[in-house]
Amino acid sequence: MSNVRLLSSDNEEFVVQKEVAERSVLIKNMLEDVGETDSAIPLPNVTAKVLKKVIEWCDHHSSDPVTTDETERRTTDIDEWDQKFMEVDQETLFDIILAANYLDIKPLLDVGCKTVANMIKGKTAEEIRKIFNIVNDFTPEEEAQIRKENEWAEDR
Amino acid sequence: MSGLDHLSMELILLILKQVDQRDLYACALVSRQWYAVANPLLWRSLMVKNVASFTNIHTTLTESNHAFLQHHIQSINFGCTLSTPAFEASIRYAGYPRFVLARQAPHVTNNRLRPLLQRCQNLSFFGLGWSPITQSSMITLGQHCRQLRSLHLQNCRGLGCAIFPALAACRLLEEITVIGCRLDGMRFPRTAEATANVLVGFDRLTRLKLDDPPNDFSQCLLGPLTSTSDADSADDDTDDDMPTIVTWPRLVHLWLNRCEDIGDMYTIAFVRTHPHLQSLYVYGGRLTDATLRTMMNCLPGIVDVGLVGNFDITHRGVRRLVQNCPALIWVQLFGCDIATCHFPEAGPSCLDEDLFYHQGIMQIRKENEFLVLLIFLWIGTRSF
Repeated sequence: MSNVRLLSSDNEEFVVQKEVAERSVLIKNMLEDVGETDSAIPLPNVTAKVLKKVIEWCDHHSSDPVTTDETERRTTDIDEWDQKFMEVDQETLFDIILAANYLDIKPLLDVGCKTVANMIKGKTAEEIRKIFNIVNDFTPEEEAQIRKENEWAEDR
Repeated sequence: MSGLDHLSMELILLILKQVDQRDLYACALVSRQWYAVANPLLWRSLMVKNVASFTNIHTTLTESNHAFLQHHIQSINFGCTLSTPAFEASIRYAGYPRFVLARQAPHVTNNRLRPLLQRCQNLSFFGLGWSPITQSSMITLGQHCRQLRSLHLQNCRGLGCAIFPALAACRLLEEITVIGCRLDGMRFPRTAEATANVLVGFDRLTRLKLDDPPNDFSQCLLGPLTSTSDADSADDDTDDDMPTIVTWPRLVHLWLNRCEDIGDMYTIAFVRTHPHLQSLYVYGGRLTDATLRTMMNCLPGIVDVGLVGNFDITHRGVRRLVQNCPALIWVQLFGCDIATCHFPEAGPSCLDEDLFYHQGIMQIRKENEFLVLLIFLWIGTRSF
């Protein structure tokens, strides 16, 4: 089993099994384009802290079948290991999502986004602002206008 | 400072794409940035719950600074019966929807539907209930909507028996539900054969739900057997006579009603070639425990089983099935010759046994490791 070297944005090097690294479609395509290489692959958008987490996920899921089927992925809920994996602070969670998006690791992206979506489920706008520490920048008139235009969608 | 506040629109979009439609309303009210991302997603799927919600949508879209919202609409779901002008206005707003569902649609006639079907070449989901449409709409659908993936028709009593031949060009179909539509005519030999041939051609099917499977459905669809093998030899798990043809390699849900001609032989062959099945309903068939045994051996992921009206199923077969299928949650047994006394190990039933003269079991549910029997009052002998 050959290894691949990955270089984080803060210049930390990680040696990973090729099979594990190839969970990332970006890296897989790079390896296919470049062929056998000894130099480390630079990942300028991912810090060492996040890359370590992403590698941990890829390692655990390295033997999963690669599903390209949209519907198949949609139906699967977050499994127990992934739930535990996602128990991190918000900033790390968002960094993982962005990294998964950049590295093109669809299942990890889905798990990350679903985790946040679950935090939003059933909440009011005010509650959502509290959870994510967001400032309400609407004027009262704007807010009333939005309520009016979307009244049909309000869950009553 | 942390949180989504200072994060990119890109991240918010990634997340909100995974959020349920019902939560998008709140998301649009969070902040300007969230509004910019959530509102187009919210307007992608219109839900016309009642006349008031139609009026609200109509008012919003006719305001000059909101007309653009119309371009986001991809899906329209009618939860109520609208007047004809309201229905037509909604459809007009929707423009080129990919998803149309109207469960209560007595007002949707061929003429009202035709313009929609003709312009919606990307229609992917189409569901209609209680509509007077006829074969002519099916022909239009088959001619124009080749991207169709889901078709749901319920209680559309005017449909002819040739609806599937009309849809032969919709090769991407993944889900088909046709129930309560009185397609008895499909049982005539010629239409039955044509129907079966078309259904077999839908090789992406994952869910099939049919009220009136055409005559000889089993022979046409459940894999042609080269030599006869009866239930006993099938029970031995010999694979020699079994067909290798997989009709629908992706099928996970098969629901058939009124299928008097579906017995063990074809069902066993079918079960063996479709190991992904999660639910299998054969109402009014002629199945015996041999089929249950094969299900137990070949369907590791089976979740629910419908055996309504299969008189020859025994409690021993059912118990074996329940005990050996780890994912199985419930078995419907209405009208089978099985009573509560056959399951002394079951947990508390929902009805008091002493009250009734004789009880049959409607369904068995597995909760944790306990069996829960739902029972019903059953007087007299089999009369159907």
